[in-house]
Amino acid sequence: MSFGNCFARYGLAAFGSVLLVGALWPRSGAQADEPVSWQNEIRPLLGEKCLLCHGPDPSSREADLRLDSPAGYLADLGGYAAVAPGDLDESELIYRISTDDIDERMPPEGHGEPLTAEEVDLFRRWVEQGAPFEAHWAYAPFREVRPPVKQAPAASPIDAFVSAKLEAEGLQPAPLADPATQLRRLHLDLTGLPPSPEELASFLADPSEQAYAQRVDALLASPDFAVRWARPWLDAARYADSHGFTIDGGRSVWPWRDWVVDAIDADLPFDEFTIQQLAGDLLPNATRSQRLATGFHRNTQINQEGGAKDEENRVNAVIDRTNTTASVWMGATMGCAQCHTHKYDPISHTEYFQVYAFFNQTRDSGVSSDPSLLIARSVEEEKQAQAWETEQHRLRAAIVASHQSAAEGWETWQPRAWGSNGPELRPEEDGSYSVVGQNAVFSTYFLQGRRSGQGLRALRLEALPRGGRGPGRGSNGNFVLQQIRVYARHAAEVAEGDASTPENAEDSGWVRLPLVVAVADMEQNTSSEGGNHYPISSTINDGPGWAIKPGFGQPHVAQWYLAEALPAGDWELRVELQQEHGGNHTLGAFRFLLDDEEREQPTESGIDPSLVDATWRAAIDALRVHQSKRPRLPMSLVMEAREVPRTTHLFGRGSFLDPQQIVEPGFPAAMNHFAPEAQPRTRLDLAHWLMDERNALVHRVTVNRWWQQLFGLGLVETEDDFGLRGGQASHPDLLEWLAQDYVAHGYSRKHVVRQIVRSHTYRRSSSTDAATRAVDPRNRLLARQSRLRLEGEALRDAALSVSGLLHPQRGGPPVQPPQPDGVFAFTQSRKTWKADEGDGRYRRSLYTRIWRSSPFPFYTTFDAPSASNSCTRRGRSNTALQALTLANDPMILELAAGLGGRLSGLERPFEQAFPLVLSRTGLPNEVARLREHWESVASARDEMAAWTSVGRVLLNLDEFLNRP
Amino acid sequence: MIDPRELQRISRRALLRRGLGLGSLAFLDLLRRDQAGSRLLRGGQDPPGPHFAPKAKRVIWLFMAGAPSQFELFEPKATLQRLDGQVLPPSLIAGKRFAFLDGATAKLLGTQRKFAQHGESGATVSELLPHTAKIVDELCFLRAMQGKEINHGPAKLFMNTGFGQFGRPSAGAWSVYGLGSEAKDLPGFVVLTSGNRGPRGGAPLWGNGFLPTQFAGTPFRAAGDPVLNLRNPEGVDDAEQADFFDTVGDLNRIASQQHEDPETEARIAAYELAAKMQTSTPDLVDLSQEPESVRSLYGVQDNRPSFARNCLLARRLVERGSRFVQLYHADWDHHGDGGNNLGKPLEDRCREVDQASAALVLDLKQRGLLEDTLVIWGGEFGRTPLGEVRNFIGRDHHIDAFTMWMAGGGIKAGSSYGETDEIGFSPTSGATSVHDFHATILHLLGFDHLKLTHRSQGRDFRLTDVEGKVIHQVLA
Repeated sequence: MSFGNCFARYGLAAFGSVLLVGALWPRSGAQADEPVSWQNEIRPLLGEKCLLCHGPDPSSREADLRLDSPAGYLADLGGYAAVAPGDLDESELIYRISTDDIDERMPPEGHGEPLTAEEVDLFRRWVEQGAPFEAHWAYAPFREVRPPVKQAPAASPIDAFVSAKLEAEGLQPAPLADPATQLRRLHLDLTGLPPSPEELASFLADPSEQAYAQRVDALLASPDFAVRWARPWLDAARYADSHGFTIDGGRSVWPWRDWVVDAIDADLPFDEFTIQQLAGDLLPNATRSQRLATGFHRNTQINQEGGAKDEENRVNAVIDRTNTTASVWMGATMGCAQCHTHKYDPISHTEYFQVYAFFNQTRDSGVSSDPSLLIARSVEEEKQAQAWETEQHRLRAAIVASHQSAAEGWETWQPRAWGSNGPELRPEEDGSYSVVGQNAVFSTYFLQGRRSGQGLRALRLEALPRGGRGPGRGSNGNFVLQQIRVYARHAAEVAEGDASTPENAEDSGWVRLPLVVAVADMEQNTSSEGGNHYPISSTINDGPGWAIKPGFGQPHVAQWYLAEALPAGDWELRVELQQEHGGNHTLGAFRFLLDDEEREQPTESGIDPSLVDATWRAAIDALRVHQSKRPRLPMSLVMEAREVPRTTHLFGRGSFLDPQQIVEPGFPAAMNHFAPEAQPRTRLDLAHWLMDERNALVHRVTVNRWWQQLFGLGLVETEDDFGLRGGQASHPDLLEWLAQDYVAHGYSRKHVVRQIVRSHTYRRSSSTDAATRAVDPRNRLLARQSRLRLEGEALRDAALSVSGLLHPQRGGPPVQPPQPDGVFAFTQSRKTWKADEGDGRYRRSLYTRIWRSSPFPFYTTFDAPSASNSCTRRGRSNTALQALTLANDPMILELAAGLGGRLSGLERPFEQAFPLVLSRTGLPNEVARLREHWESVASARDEMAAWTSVGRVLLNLDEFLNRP
Repeated sequence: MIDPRELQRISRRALLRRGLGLGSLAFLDLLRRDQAGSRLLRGGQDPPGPHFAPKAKRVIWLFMAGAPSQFELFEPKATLQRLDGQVLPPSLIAGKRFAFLDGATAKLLGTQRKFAQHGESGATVSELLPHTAKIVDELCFLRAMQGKEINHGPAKLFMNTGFGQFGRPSAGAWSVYGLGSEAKDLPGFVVLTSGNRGPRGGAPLWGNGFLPTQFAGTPFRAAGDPVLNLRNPEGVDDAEQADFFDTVGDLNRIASQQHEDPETEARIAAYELAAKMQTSTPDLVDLSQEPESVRSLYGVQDNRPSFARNCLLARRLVERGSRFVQLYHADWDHHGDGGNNLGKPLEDRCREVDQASAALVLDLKQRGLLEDTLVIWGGEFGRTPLGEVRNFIGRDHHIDAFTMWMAGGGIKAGSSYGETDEIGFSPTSGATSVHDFHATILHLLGFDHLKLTHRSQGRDFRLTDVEGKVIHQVLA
């Protein structure tokens, strides 16, 4: 049943029921006058009940009716409209949601529950009030807000906003937490480490506002701030030290992780922070540091499985980059629009691929880890790396130039289809193909495409070495081309989707073109050494085929001439390169060219060394030599733009196997109120657009995440969904103010953090009673603070800190603290994990090596994400496995022993344990209980064991696990 | 019924009397668990519960990682045998994807094994599975299963989560999320592995996706202690460990009185469960408790890691209340390489799983557990009717039609659903998508698959993504 058909039956009877229904809904006067909010009431209800069929997605839209905009709900549907402002009787929507006629009522049967009386009433009042519309708040420009003015001056504008709301709700704010709790909270939130007993004592001696403010500044300036605050960004970037999927080989991208820490430490303004990570390589005269920053989007996974398809995996990475960018910066659930126009948010299927198009122009592939950047750690190394790269760039350009002149007069063929019966042919920017994936024992490659308005006289194959290896995939670099077959048929005969090949279909119209002469620059003839002769002539006659031993690492060229020229016309050509010698003797990279010029041709097959121009070969040799001299510096994965643009297609249902119309880069219209005329091309354009000071959405999303870090929940709880189905801000004006304050202060992260942690709202007690919890269980109103279980990494860091074992070194390759045996038993390729014996054992958790297939178990037990997708908010579970881990893990026992050792040297160890570990004084019964445990272990074993056990108890306390 | 608040007061009072040990608190603990224990462990949330009475209360899924060949185990095809050595007509291969093969030149391969019909149902099973052949009247074969992903990692994710990439909850996680667990001192969702390596894809296969972490599968290790950190620290005896747990519990209770955070109560409960798991889990894996007759039924030899050991463990787990047990047995990827082909490697895999798979069904049946335990057997996809000739004979990945079987909990015994064409390339009837398969599992567990949802990133997700229909024909 469609809405449209039902509309056709609209008549007097229906009119009658509207009147009847109207009479049945008594309303209180007060409620009727209250303004109905489109944004807070009508829009969410539409989203829940109506938009699946009457929303932004044209493909699922029923009755051509769209309800999420005035253009839709006011549209003339042929003498009537869904909504007639102020007129209930003329509003079809009101009739449809309130009628008892089951054939006419919306939503239709099977599409959700009918609306409740209250919901219907809401719609009625909205129509009566003129059906007002507001643009979705998150996508709207900034609006001006001022902190409410009260008689008592608030400690910070934040408090003014929060108090106003509490007053309106009739709630009393909790008192400020005691100074010790405030200090512990501040230290854990800003640095991830608890205050030392000395810092605690000094603050307790003077807990003034001024002293607190000084602590804030000192902690913001401490190098530990960046280590703490980098962690959520690494989660968002799905950072790990391995490629993921099943093989999960190691990768080097830790220099990017260090870049993030340094950038946060230096308070690199968030606009720069963003621009460099999304498009640092495209900045004019990009520095090494700016290029390194682009590692953000190289944190996608790489499938190294044998049957993995390069293009499929590359597309998956681009999709991941698109979705991650949307989630991290725009708070948008763009993934939905990959397969179809978003059902709820105004993001069309086309717009999805417009954003995708920005990321579809990089050089990285789906199954290899290139490109990487050399990482310089000193001025000297910087010079070295720069010099090497400059030279490499020059040599590459020389190869391109000499390659071009070597093939002078030939035309690079651009077929529309290519492939093989096994490995994948990956088209490269220079028109060549790299053969990737499974290294087949034998294979036949094909190229097929149009030749329009031209004929054909000769063909040229260039077998190309890659990275000093090849050009063949045999272990020594050899290949054997046994036969080349060339077919043509009239292009007009080839229907769309015709998959017939000369072999699989008889009478398909294909004609094989006879080749009479074959010439190559060289051919393998090792018969004098007891080997064989692989002459080029055998590619067109019987024989073993053409091979190139010992010419490895060099380019080789073969040319074939047709017995009779193919006349000019519209042809479909197909070329097959048969390589069935075995032993992986197949081409590893090649380019294919055609010629239709009438010129002098060789008359017999044989060798013509001039086919490979000496300059070209020298250029390739020079690059190989140069590459062997690469400075021995660490590398990091980076983004690099392609020189030859790639065409972006919209994929039907999101599948790369179904490319449809061509799409150009663009911004989603609903989120782009400020630059509607923009014609963006590159990632840099996208990054600038995101960071435009008018892009209020992005700035709201950003400050909301920082708020979340300090309160456990964002002001908008659905921090990754600012769309129409996302949550509303608990304090809309506060969010608005905070975002604008951040822009006004130069996109400074430290400024925003300082603003928040200095507010009384942040500093309140998190103790609650049952009554408060009943009113506001999730603390959305912020009458108090919240206890938050520390992330696994922060928990281990805190334990390292109180144990006295923490090693402060920053940066560098990942380290391996001890983990229980057997962690790798579940992965396909088992790794070895040898725990570091030195300082690496005690470094901060940010530096622990992360294998995606088997992440460090301590962290995952405490909800660390798997680094497979972007994660912008972690869970906080509370499980028995966490208890087992903290109680028994040898790593924790080692830290417990360290802590116990520290305690044993103190004057009043059981008393002093509490300030040291929990930043507070112990209660007498707590101190007594701890001592009792010590005595019982000491009497059963010995004092050392007892101290370790006391340390273990302390590290297992719920209070230690939680930021207060 | 005792008011839970009263219980808290009791436990606090009990605390004031020093010297109360773990054992003396046990009765309180039991009471509390019945009241709210499992709820506390769920972070204070009740499971959504079934939508209607479940036919199956628990699931044991025998996952043949790497994808066994249906043509050598369950699907002899006379026509395929006749066409052995010929290429496929282009009409069949147009638009098909293979991981390694060239569809245009690869040649059809007849079955390499002998088949016979078995039982009253007359199901065809090959010589490689003599034990399975004896229980066919308990099984329901799905002979026209269809997947979407052609590589192992994505396909295993798809088979487990209904989606070919990372990030979605697995069927096991959905089940425990929906029904909760009946296990008092063991995890509700357990994963056991055997064979020479773990399954491709790793932890995301039994991951919780966007559901809370406690619903993720707990992988038990193949030998030794089944979960990490299950033993007392070096040098700590059981008395000291009990004293440790007591001290932590006491101090947590004192602190709890200060800030009254329900999470602290949940943590106290979690530590109590942890203490219990330290004794219950070694007991679980102590197979010497089983009579020799049972051990030999499964083919368990001493306590070495094996699929047989895991099958017996699976039974012991469901007996103790675990909701979802998944067993992975590696290395069914028989392409035609030296180590992976349809000759000896296939025979070895079959010998490793056949007896124990059948024993599990028989053992569950004789204990009366089969009627409400769903047993599933199969891989992430099937193998091609086309041969893949490397150095030995093998077959490539095939997603258009393959075979799985189910038994027990609400499944029609001795039946078969779905048929394929004469070379086994595509379904001719009863095509069953992975989404249909998931919808059916959820149905047996008492859920309407359309309604078991969880909101994440602005969308209500479900195991069956946007597809799936219950296969009523396989229901008893």
